[in-house]
Amino acid sequence: MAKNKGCPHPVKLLAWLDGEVEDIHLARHLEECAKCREMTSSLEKENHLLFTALEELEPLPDISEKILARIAERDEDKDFFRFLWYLLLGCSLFVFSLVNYFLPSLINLDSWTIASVQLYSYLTSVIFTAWGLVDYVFTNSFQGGPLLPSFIVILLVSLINYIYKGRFSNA
Amino acid sequence: MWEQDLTDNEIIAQMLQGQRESFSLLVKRYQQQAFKLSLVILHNRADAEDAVSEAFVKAFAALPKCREKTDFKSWFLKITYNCCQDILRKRKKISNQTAYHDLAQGASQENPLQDVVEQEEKREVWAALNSLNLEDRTALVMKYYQNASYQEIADTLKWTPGTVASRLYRAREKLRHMLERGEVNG
Repeated sequence: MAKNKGCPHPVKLLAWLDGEVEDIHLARHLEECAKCREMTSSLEKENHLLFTALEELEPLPDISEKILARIAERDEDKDFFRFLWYLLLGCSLFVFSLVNYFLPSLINLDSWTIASVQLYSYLTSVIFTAWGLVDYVFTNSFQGGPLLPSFIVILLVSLINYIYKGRFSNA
Repeated sequence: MWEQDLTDNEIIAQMLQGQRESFSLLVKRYQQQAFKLSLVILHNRADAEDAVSEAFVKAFAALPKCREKTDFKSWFLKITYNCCQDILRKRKKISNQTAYHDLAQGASQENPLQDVVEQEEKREVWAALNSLNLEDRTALVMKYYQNASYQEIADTLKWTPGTVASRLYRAREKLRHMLERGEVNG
């Protein structure tokens, strides 16, 4: 479209029409310039055509129930895997405690080996307890999941592990 | 207060306090907008529906990260756009492109001749829209159907608001030329 001198750039005109810029001069210019008025009007018609073409697309049936069901299903899966993870962790800690308890009486170990096993044992207890605590606090704060039983298992196993360290000093 | 009167942020606050069912209000509020955006991007009804449900599930999971000042609508449309891109990436090319008359609702019977003309016009707009590149048609739908601001479009497409203005103008020019020259095959 041929422009008069002083006509705004079409991008600016479009931005003004889209309500993105406020320009009193532009509004005043439109009152005087027939070409810009014509352009504005054709842009408005195009807006309408675009809107109605999309508006007429057949709407999606309400999917809110489906979405909530999918979210619930996903949460159940997540809870199951979390439970499995805690179970595995609890079992391995339990086995680890038993090994710690019986190992010194089964094998004659020197004091350095006992000390290193003990240190390793302490460290794993600390790491697992701290991790369990952090995970429990965060999960409960954000989602409110019932993870207390699994956390208690971790705590108890760590406690057993700690108490039976006495066996090493007596070995 | 009626549930419908709640703002997006009030609904999100309710959900974060444990009322998960409130999420259905957000789904009802934005499902059509997200669906039409997905439809324009993916050209296929089934894929568009998948993209919308995936976007809602992702949005639900990420809701605690949605800060109070974040505008849910633009944040969610951004997720929808990303889900559509994932689907496009999976299928690599546009397949099973659906024609406008399969997607549009039936015309009213009051003025059949005018309806036919209007339907034809809209079919051409749809076909022309689909000839544009992904980003241009996303910008057009966001602006002229969802009434998003240039800033919201810029956030979704990772452009600057200035780029949005010029790209929108150029996309409309292309659209106009295609419609004037009848270069559409939908």
